[in-house]
Amino acid sequence: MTWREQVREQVDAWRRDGVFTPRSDSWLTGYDEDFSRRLGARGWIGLTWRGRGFLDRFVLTEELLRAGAPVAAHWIADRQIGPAVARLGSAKLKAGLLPGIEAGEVRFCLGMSEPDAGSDLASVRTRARRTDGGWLLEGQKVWSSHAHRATHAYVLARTSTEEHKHQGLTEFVLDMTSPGVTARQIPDLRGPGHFCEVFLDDVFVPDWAVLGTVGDGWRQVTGQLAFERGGPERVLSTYPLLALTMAAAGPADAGRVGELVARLTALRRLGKQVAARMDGGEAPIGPAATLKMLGNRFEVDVIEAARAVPGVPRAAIDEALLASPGFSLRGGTTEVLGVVIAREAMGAVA
Amino acid sequence: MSLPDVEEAAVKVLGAAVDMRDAARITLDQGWHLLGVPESEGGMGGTLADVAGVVRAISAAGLSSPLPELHAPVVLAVANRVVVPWGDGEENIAGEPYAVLASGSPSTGATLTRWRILHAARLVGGCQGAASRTAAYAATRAQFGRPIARFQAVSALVAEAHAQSVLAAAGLEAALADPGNDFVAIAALATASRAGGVVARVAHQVHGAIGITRELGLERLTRRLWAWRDLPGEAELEPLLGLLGEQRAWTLGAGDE
Ligand SMILES: Cc1cc2nc3c(=O)[nH]c(=O)nc-3n(C[C@H](O)[C@H](O)[C@H](O)COP(=O)(O)OP(=O)(O)OC[C@H]3O[C@@H](n4cnc5c(N)ncnc54)[C@H](O)[C@@H]3O)c2cc1C
Repeated sequence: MTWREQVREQVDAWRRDGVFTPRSDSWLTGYDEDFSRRLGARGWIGLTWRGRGFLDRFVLTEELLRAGAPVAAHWIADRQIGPAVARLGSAKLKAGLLPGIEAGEVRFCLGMSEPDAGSDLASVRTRARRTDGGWLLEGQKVWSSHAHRATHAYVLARTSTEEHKHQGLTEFVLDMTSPGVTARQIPDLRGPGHFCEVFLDDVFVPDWAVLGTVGDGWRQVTGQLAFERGGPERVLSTYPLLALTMAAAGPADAGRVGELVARLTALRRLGKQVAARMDGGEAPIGPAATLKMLGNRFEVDVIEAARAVPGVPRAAIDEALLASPGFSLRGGTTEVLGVVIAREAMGAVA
Repeated sequence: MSLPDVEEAAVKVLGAAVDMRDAARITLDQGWHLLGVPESEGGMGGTLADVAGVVRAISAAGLSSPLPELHAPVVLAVANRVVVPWGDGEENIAGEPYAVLASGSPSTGATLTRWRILHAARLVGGCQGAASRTAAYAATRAQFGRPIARFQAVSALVAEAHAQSVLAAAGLEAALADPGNDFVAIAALATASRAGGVVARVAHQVHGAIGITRELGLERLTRRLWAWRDLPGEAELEPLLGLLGEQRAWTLGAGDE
C-alpha cells in the first residue's frame, strides 16, 4: 500500500465510525483535541522533523483536508512551530515541546499580529526586556487563533528599538499558563470561534525558550512564512464543498466543474513542488506566495460554482461562505503576496 | 548533444527561419523529430519530458515548430471542424499552417494524449516567455520618475502573469508524471490554455503601446498564445473533466506517487 492509501484507509475508517464529520475550513475551524491525540497516537504529527519529510506531510495533510477532518488543534504546531523548534530551538526547548506536539497534547497559537501590526508585521510593538535568566514580555497580540485553549504561544517581539524596524526582533515560545498571560475570545461573524486577543503583562520567558537568535527574528519569521503559506490548506479549505458539488453536478455543470478539476490538478502539483523544495532545505518564499494567491482564489471559486450547481446542500455552502473572507487575509493578504510574487518574478529575470 | 544544447540550438536555428515552411523544414533537417524515438529505432532516446523541454524552449523564444506534431501526428476536432495542425491550407492568427479536412475522424488514444502534453508544453513556454518579458519590462520602463513596477497596480499584473505561468508549468509537470493518463493531459492543456489568455492580456497591458508593435516582438509570443489556446480551447476541454466524480478527479495529480 502506498503512503497515501494508508492514510486514506485510516481517515475513511474514522469518518465511517463517526469520529468526525467533514467540514470546510477544517484546518482552522475544525478544532477537536481528541482527534489531534488520535493522530498523535498514530504517529502522524511531526513527520517533518521525525525523519519523514515535507512530501510525506504533504500527502497526509492533503488527505486529511480532502476528508474535512478536524485538524485545527495541532495544525500550527505541526506546520510551522514544531519545524522551527526542531531547527532552531535549544536542547531544553526541543525536549520540552516536541514529544508533546507529536502526541497532540501541546497545542500552539500564533502571536504575530497586533492591533497596529497587520500586513506590516515588522512594526510589532510587543517588547521583551532583559531580566535574570530570561526575558519579560509586555504587549498585546490579536487574531491569535484558538489562543484561549492553546497550551503554548509563539510570540514575535521587539528586543531592541534602536535599529531599523526589521532588526531587533526576536521569536519566543511561551507557556500559556505563565503568570501575566490573558487570552480573550473575539467573536467573529459566526459568533465566538477561533479569534482571540492575548495580553502579555510582564510574562517571564526563560532564555532557553528563545527561538533561534536574539535579534534575528525577522529573517527567521519570513522563512517560517514559507511554511505557513506553502501548504495544501491554502488550496483545499473548501474541498469538502467541491466534493459535494462534484456529486451533484450534471451535464450542464460539466464545464464549470471541469475547470475547477483542471486547476486543482495544477495547484496540487505546485504544492508538491513546494514541499519537495522544503525537503531540499529551502524556505521557498516566492513559490509559497504564488501557491497561496492562486489557491485562495480557487477556494472561493469553488463556492461560486457550488452556488450554481443545483442540489448542493445550502448548509455546506453557507459554512464555506462564512469562512471565506479569511482565506485571502490570513497568512498574508493577496495584495501583499502580489508584491512578494512580483519581486520574485523580477528577480528571476534579472 | 545534451538536452540543454538541443534546446539552445533549436532556438538559434529556428530563429533564422524565414517562414513557417522553413521552420518545418529546419525541424526535420535537424532530426529533432527523432528526439523522443528510442535509440533502438534509430532515434535519440529522449523521454517525453525531454521533448517537452525542447518544445518549451522554442515557444518561450516566440518561435514555431511542428515538433509536437512530428512526435504525435494528430487530427483534432476543433469547434465543429476537423483540423490537422501544421497541415497545408489555412493559417492561424500566428501564421502557423493547418489543414481543415472535409471529413475524417479525430485522433484518440495514446497519440492524442501525447500531443496534448506537448501542445501544453508549447503554451507553457509561451507563457513563460511572455511573463518574463513582462517582468523585465516593468522593472526597466520608467514613468513618473520611477520604474513602473514600483506602482503596485503594475506589480500586481507582473505577479499575475508570473503566477499563471507557474501554474501552467505545474499542470504540465503533473501530466508528464502520468503520461498515460489522458485526463491529466486534458487538465494540463486546459490550464495552460487559460493561462495563455491571461498572460497575453496582462503582457500587453504592462507593455503599453510599444508592446503592440511588430518591432518589439512581444506579439510573436502573444499571437502564438492566442492561436495555441484554441486548439481546442478550454471550453471544449473542461467539460471532459467535469463528470469524473470526486474519486477519479482526486487521483489526477498523483501519477508518480
Ligand atoms: C481567519 C484569520 C486567522 C488569523 N489567525 C492569526 C493568528 O493565529 N495569529 C496571528 O498573528 N495573526 C492571525 N491573523 C491575522 C492576519 O495575519 C492578518 O489579518 C493579516 O496579516 C493582515 O493584517 P490586517 O488584518 O491587520 O489587515 P491590514 O494589514 O490592515 O490590511 C487591510 C487591507 O489593506 C491592504 N494592505 C495593507 N498593506 C498593504 C500594502 N503594503 N500594499 C497593498 N495593500 C496593503 C491589505 O491587503 C488589506 O486588503 C488571522 C487572520 C485571519 C483573517
